[in-house]
Amino acid sequence: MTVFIIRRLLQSIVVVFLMSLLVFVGVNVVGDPVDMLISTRKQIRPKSNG
Amino acid sequence: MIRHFGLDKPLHIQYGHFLLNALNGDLGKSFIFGMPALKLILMRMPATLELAFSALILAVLIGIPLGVYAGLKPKAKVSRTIMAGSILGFSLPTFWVGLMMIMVFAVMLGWLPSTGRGETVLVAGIELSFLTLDGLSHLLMPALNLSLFKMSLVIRLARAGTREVVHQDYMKFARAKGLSESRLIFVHLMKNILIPVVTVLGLELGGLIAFSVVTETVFAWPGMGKLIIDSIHLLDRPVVVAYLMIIVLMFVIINLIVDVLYSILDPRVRLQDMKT
Repeated sequence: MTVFIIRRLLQSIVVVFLMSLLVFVGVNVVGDPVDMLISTRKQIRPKSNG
Repeated sequence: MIRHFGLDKPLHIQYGHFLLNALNGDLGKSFIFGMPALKLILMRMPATLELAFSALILAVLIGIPLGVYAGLKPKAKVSRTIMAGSILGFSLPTFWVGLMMIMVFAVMLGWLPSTGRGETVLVAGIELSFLTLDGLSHLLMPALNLSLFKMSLVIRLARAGTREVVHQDYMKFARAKGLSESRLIFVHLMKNILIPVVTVLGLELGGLIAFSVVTETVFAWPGMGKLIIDSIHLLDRPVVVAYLMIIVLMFVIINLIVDVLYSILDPRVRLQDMKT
């Protein structure tokens, strides 16, 4: 039983590592957060009367 | 701003930093809220977990008896109705069922509140709503809505398992030995149909937590769902990554527990795994 659990634990660590890589790269591909932040701030800035 | 968030560095360096920090429990700081992403998610997590576990308990408590009944008396009208209901549970979209429930139970009948979490009680620093009557009334509809799909799944699994087990030799032998019907069902039948139910439900629990976004949105349940939707809209990268990593970790841990439980229920799994 102990060997079975250790084996499963090691497999889980590999899965978590691979998924972290996939998630990080995937989220980075989606877009540039700085562009998004700048455009959001532009939208909420009040218009000047002049 | 780019340098402040570390976005000027190459991707592999950013990933290395992220991995090292993640090992220390730091999943980054939200660009929008300026708070640690993990803290933001953990603040909302109890509400989502409460909803998911309530849905799971409802699915088991209602699904297993209905499935076993449908398996024991497959030709009865009630069984046919149960099976037709389970097909509806599979095919109707969660958001539509949620809206209909609000329409009937909150707007027309006025029995249950439609949104929010209601009154909560602080237990070990965690806010729980199922311990108060007001909280329970707020929890009932979203939990039932979230559980409908899983309930249908449990009904079908329990029915299929019962149909298979009821014709086995050990069941015939136990019946011939003169065991009571309740002992036959609760000891000999249940133990054998629980293996697929535990496996599937264990794996589905991760899905319940991860994909409760729709139910949370319909019932304005203040869980992680709303946070992740806002974070995706605003490209709040650390929160999205942290959320996904927590979900991955949750799936892995649940899978591990299911594997161990499965090997306890059926030792052949463990022995087979050791051989390969």
